[in-house]
Amino acid sequence: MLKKKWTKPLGLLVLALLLVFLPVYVTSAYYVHILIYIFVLAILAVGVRLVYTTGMVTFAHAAFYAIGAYTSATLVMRFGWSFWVAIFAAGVMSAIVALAIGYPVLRIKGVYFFLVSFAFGMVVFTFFSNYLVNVFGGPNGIISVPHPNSISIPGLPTLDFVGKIPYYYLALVILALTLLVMYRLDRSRFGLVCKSVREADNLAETAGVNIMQYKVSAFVIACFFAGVAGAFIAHYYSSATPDTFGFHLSVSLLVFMLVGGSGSVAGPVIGVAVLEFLAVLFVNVDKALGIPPGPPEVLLYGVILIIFILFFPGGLVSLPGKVVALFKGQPKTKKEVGQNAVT
Amino acid sequence: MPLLELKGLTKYFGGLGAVRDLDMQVEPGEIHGLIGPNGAGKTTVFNLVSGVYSPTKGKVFFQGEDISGKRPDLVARRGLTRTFQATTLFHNFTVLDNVMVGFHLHSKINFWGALFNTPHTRRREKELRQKALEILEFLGLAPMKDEYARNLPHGHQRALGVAIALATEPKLLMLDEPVTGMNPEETRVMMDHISKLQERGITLLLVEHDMKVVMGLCKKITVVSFGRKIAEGGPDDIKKNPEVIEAYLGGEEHVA
Ligand SMILES: Nc1ncnc2c1ncn2[C@@H]1O[C@H](COP(=O)(O)OP(=O)(O)OP(=O)(O)O)[C@@H](O)[C@H]1O
Ligand SMILES: [Mg+2]
Repeated sequence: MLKKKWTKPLGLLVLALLLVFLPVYVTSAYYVHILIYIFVLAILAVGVRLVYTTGMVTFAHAAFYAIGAYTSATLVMRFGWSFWVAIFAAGVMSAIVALAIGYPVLRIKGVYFFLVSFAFGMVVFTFFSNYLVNVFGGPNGIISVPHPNSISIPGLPTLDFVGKIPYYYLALVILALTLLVMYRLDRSRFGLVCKSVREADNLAETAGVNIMQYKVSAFVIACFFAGVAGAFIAHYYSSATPDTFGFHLSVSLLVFMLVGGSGSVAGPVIGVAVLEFLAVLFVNVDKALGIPPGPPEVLLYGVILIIFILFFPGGLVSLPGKVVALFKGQPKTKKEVGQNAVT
Repeated sequence: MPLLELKGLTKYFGGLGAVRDLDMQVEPGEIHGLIGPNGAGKTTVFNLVSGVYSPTKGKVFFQGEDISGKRPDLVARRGLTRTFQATTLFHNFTVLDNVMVGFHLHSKINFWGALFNTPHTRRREKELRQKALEILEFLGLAPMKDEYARNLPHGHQRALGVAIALATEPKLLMLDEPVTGMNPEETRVMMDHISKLQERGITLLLVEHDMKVVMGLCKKITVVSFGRKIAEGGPDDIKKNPEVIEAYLGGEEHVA
């Protein structure tokens, strides 16, 4: 029993140490970049999952990522804010917009919400591409977004944002904080009530749950982290352009969640890691074979998605359990969606 | 003062009068029956009282307060809850977690307490788990507390629906066909639970087609047909009432 209890925290500790020391071994800037992007996508994907725990499938997440990016770039460049304040303000800005649209829009059920969130994504995209061009730069976006100002953390050397390594650690820290919050929420009464809304909103209501309050809260929290991620990426890329936050990103985020598994916080993270590594692999294979990258990966994503939805609704995280069950010959009726023992 | 009072309650779905000009009073402490043929409007009454629908006309008073058209969670907050005719549970939750959601109004755990898992939160969750176990014990569900709700046999699922409702600590509990699909033994056990709830001081409004259950439990019965009240009284009056006999026979003829 004791052994089982410790495998998870130990595994996490090993993983954390691995991620902290990884840049020492991975010296290729390309691969460090891939890792940074995986961290950012993971922050977004766990947000999509938080919204999904209340039963809502959002296609608007890239829009809140964009709002964060543009907010931070504008605050730093036009108003001279410090990046360290602006990144937080960017999260708050995304959260405020989420709050404003959440109340009317999250009332809409099922596929209609899905469509409206899609439309909202389009509105934001169009807004940044075509309006206030002197502020947001139109289709070219905002360019020459400055690096974060150096910070000195007591006990550590001063962190100057040159090269990719400092960004790697910043993204890692933001991801760790995001995951911590998501994990705690998932394990708490808040998470339980969110899931109850998805399971049976009419029953949750008769139990006194204000379902809008929970849907909106989950949405606002998820969008806060998306805004922070957006601020990060704008300064990391030194630019905020509409294309970075296009519709395909919102789609990918859903794919990450579904492939990784929506039953736990770990699911979407694993989905992001596996599919992004696969994508890198494909780029390399394409290069070796001399094919231009593009269509094959998109096709592959589609096929993977269909396979997972049809055959592994619990996602990748459910696979080990299924394999074990297969070998032990146990019926695999248990676990998957609602492992909510409130701790 | 009646605990629940309906005054001229009316609900139209398009041209269909599902509930029409219904007056009814539920007194504190009683088990009040609400019966009528299929489609008479019983479930619609529950939906109007619990806030799922707003009345087209008329009012709902609970403890003297007008609650017509108030949201279900606000109605539940006042101590009025209901179960569903079609088994409605958090199917992918454990039995225990189903009841834990029922404690929502009484958890005294706010968002930040939940996020930071404060000592207060942990203590409260422990207390609530204990209370949940008591409710499960009472309804004979304790042995399957860690089972997923979807895996329970039908009779236990119906009982779990009641368990969730009890966790909200209702003053008035409305049960929509609690023994549907139960065998005679399960039915007897559920009847026993319902009388025990009354002994605990919970007022009950009971919709049920099984006449043995209704006649056995209710001192007062309201009969509706095509949305209108056609009779009210004790079991013996109701059994003899020609209009009631007509409504049920007419209904059957209609079906046959
Ligand atoms: N949401 C709705 N939209 C349209 N018509 C409805 C709706 N809900 C109920 N009805 C209609 O209202 C009438 C009363 O329905 P209700 O479910 O209240 O009957 P009931 O007495 O509970 O019947 P049963 O004993 O079969 O459960 C029926 O004719 C039904 O078809
Ligand atoms: Mg009914």
